[in-house]
Amino acid sequence: MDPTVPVTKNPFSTFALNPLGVTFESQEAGEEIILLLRAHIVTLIPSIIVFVFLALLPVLILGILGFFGLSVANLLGPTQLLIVLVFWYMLVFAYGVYRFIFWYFNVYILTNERIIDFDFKGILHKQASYAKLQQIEDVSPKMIGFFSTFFNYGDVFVQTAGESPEFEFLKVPHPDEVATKILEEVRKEESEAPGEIL
Amino acid sequence: MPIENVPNFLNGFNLGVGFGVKIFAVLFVIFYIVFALILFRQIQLMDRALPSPIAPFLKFVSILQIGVGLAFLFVVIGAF
Repeated sequence: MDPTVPVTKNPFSTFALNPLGVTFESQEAGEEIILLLRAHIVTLIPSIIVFVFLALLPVLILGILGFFGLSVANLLGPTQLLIVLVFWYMLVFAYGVYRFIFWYFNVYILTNERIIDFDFKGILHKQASYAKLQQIEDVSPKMIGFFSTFFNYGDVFVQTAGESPEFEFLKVPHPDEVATKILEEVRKEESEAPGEIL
Repeated sequence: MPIENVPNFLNGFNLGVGFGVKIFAVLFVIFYIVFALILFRQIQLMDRALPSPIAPFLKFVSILQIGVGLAFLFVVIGAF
């Protein structure tokens, strides 16, 4: 890789230009990752709010019961109370890990040969879609709503002539820049001889 | 029911409730362990598809979840 080209080292980056040390399954020889995208960090805020609320819920419940003069000690023994609390926090922790993994592994990749969409939609749902750059017909970025405009994130829809007719890069940062980058790579690919990897 | 048998009846009822809670808790923890196992497998698969520098940490966390779940299962079995 050209040493003058900026690289991204942060493994949590949502907009990683030339990410360093990142590879993927089925990567071809000479194929380089130009851009790696994840949903904007702002999209994690609802999950963080839910996580904090769930973490504080036992304290709130104890406070409310105390306000009405009730004590949990009358209902549960100390061991039982401890078990209930440990179990609750195990669930809250599991929820946090689950939401983080969803966000972290849902990535969109632009290489010098194709675009790839890794989906991790549910606990038993894993999907990877690929489209060659030559198959791309249209790229349209969309930013709708207050948060989207304020934090500069949105969706990028990529129409292709392949098996997956439309690729959706959802809630990614800098959608306009993403679209420009894709079109730039498409133009480069079109100028190459068939089968050539640059 | 003769009045002298009422305490025995209530004891039986308490045992039933305690047993029900225990069964419920055990099933819930088993469900949690299965969830943690699936999560671990999913992290393995995703790491294979897209190797990540933080994947070993995520695997460790998911193994920790399985371990804590198993430990908690024994605690629940012995606690009620």
